[in-house]
Amino acid sequence: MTVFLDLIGSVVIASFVILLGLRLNQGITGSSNASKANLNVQESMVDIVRTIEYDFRKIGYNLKDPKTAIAVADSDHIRYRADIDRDGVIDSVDWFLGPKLTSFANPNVRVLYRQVNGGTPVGAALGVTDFKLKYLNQDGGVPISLNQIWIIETTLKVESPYKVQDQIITDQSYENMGYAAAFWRQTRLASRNIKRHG
Amino acid sequence: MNLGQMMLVVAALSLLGVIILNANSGILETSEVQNMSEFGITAVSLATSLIEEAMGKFYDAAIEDSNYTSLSDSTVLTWPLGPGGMESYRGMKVGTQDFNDFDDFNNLFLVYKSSVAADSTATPGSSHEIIVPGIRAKYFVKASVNYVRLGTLDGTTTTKTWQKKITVTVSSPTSRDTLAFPAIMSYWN
Repeated sequence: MTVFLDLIGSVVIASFVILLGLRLNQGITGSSNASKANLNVQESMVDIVRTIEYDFRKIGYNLKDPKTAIAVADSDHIRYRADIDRDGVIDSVDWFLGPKLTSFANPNVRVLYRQVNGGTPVGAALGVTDFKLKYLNQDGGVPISLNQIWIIETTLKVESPYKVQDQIITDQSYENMGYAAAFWRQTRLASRNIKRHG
Repeated sequence: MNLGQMMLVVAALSLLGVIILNANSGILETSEVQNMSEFGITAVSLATSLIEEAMGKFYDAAIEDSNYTSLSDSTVLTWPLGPGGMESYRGMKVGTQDFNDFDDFNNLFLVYKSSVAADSTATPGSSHEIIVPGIRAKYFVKASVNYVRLGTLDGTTTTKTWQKKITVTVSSPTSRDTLAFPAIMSYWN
């Protein structure tokens, strides 16, 4: 009888230990995935922002008449002219958001494209779910025409293509999980080159 | 199972408990670092935006005023620093105009928040509350502007000088840290 009780006790304790181990394994795996997703998202965001800030500050560079620097000014598409590579030739640069990608778990993921001189658009970043441009004149108001644009307000959000585990609630179902995300809003990005006119 | 075996089991389970607690602690610390990075990225964007906006203004109201023919005398500069009665940030208050000079940003307190219901409560003391869809926390952006002397840029002075320093601090209820971004604007005659 004693041996039998010992066996039952051992099985119960072993079950608990195994459950603990499995839970720990699940937590570490989920956390590892969330960490990777967060890191990717944040690195991607910093990379895009660095490129956008570098690019946008060159708007109108080397143009004789900077009033013609911006050719297209939509909420998710900008085309501007500048001698972007300092070779004496004026380039035309487009930044625009591609269509939603259907191959990922996150239905809002898109690719942000950069296109130079009408060539093949190059995907500057994956995972962009929000890319909004707002244009302002020198007084911070709404410009009436393209040549009045002095300031560009840029809003950018990058999300992971798949959902990640919450750091507090680790036993959520996949449906209830959220995406790793990073948010950027540069409300007053102005190129000194387009400020020359007036 | 005798007492010795029981003690061994208890010891083994205790050891396992310690390992699990350590693992959980490590996971939480990693998550906190990532949350801080996420906060930092947005905070940097908001702070640099405000600094760039301030840098785009006149150095002082006296600079804009064409009645002053000579600007070699610093006594004509503004004191105390801050916006005029008819000025508010981007003219957000009805009947006011946007800031026109650098020191108008003194004591500005902006709150950036999302459109979710949990963020709807107004923050006491805030100048303006700006709703930004997609932002993932409340961000408190405060600015202070002071005169500084060339030799002691880290300090402040009540003497009117040709250098002003703006310090933008960004904090959030979800973050333990407050990020501070100083920038100096000079006016050379």
